[in-house]
Amino acid sequence: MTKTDTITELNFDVERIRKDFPILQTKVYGKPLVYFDNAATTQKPLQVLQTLEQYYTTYNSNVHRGVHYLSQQATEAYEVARRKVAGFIHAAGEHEVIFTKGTTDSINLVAYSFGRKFIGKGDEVLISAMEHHSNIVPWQLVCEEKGATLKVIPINEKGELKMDEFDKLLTEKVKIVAVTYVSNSLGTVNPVEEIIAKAHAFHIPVLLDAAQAIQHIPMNVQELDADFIAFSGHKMYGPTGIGILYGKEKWLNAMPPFEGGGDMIKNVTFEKTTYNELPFKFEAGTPDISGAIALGAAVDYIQQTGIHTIQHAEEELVAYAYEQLSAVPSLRFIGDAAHRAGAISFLVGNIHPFDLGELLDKYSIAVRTGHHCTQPLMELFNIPGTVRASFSFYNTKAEVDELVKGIEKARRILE
Amino acid sequence: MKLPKADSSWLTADGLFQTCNLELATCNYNPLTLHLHMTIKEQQEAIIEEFSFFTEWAEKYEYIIQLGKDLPLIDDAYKKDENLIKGCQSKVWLHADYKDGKVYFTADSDALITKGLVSMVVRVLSGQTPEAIANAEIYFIDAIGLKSHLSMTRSNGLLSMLKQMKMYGLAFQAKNDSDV
Repeated sequence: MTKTDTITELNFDVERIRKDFPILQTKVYGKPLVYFDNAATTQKPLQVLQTLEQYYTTYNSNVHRGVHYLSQQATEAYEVARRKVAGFIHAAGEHEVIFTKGTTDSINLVAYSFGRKFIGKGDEVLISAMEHHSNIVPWQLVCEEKGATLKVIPINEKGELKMDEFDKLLTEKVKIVAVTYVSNSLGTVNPVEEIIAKAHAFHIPVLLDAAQAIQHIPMNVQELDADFIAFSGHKMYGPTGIGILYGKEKWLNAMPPFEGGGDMIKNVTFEKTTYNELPFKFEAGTPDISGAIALGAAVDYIQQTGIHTIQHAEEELVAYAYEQLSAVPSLRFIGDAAHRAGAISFLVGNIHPFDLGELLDKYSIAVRTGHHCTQPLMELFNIPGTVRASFSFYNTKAEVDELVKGIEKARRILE
Repeated sequence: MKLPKADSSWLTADGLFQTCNLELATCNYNPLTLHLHMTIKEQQEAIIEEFSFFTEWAEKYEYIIQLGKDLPLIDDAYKKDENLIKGCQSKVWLHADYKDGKVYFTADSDALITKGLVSMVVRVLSGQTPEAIANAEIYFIDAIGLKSHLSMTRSNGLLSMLKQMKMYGLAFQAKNDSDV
């Protein structure tokens, strides 16, 4: 059975899906929008938008505090959303799911809190050469403060981790391994199962930056045996400002609070404060209630469509895009990993990615250009940046054809 | 591609008046001083008029890229990090010379569209007095429909370059004042 058959069998109708996303009917410069910047943020389905509106129009209230009806309703919806996320990633318990502002916030939480307790002078933190700045800088800050060293797993010319080098870097000194599941710049899918198994052999916990994985790949944190997973709501069809940190209970319990404030306490005196239990210990202050509830709606949307269906549809689309782009003269891929998801990065001849991106915009094609917040990676490839087209299951092959045509036309102007 | 009817003329970094026939893509350096007194405003109006001939955006971009080729290029000796204006995406190098009370800019960029825009800005501000540069209001970029280049989202160095040019204006102005 081919993939196409699978998609048909699963009754995947992209045109019906597209009707759920009002923005996809938008025209830019008088032409239909082709949105290929999904790795930056995905568009939102009506179901998510309606959930946001319904929250503010019918039961807006603060959570975990009021005895009144609306507060109870809001609290219930907020906690149901947590349960939905926990179910989606197959967490052992919903108390292992912490609402944060997003991936960056989640990683900072672990770097600060885990780092404060478990990282000391002479220790090492292991990241990879393809990390987003948000999985580099928080660790640099904690290493600097603690007198620890940041070590980097190198990559090969295809943009894949050099696993033999990873083996050499894994020593007793390493206190945590923090790597991306899927590269935002290259689309590389890293062998996270292998990374986790190897790190665990040294009793080293692993944090996965899943910002570019959660929307493309089915996630089972218990099967993966990951210690921490960070991801953002807005890259999985939910609103901006909400994200998730999944952490194993044993780690979250052992870690000190990240921020102090309301909701995270049990009892406060001027002499001593006792902290609330999980997950509230890490949720100081009024959370993004509407964002969390709408993220729950986004999870529902993904579950109803089926994450496996989404994965198949996207694999087929990315393969088609890869094939079509391969035929463009003087186009070269930046990152050519055997296993990829979501994004394709490329350059055309000597054309500056910024020039190409600007002209594609005029053809109403939205792509991302630049270093994608992975400057060290761009330096490794010795390029100023790339043009990145990133895909979602609501994109079509006809849109890929528009991209290819756009590149050809832009090339004639720029070369 | 429709081109402006008249030849385009501007002042080069050498203080020479340059006339370019855009259709033939040739340029002549003309030592005439006839247009030397074109103000910043007049230069901008001239650019806006040139762009009014284009009806298609692609033509506009082709013209911008063409203008990039006329940019008085920065001497390699000055093309180093300290003269690099850091933008998020494209790089711009800028150098200023001060001669007979006027400032002359040379520059370069690694992106073609940015280079074309830089070329226009240099054309507008080069050969002007430090006072005029420091007080200049640059409105032509918006007027020719390239406002996005000045927005935070682009962060492409053009805005930083304008600031740097004004800084040069202020610096030379301060130098003048202290000399008096």
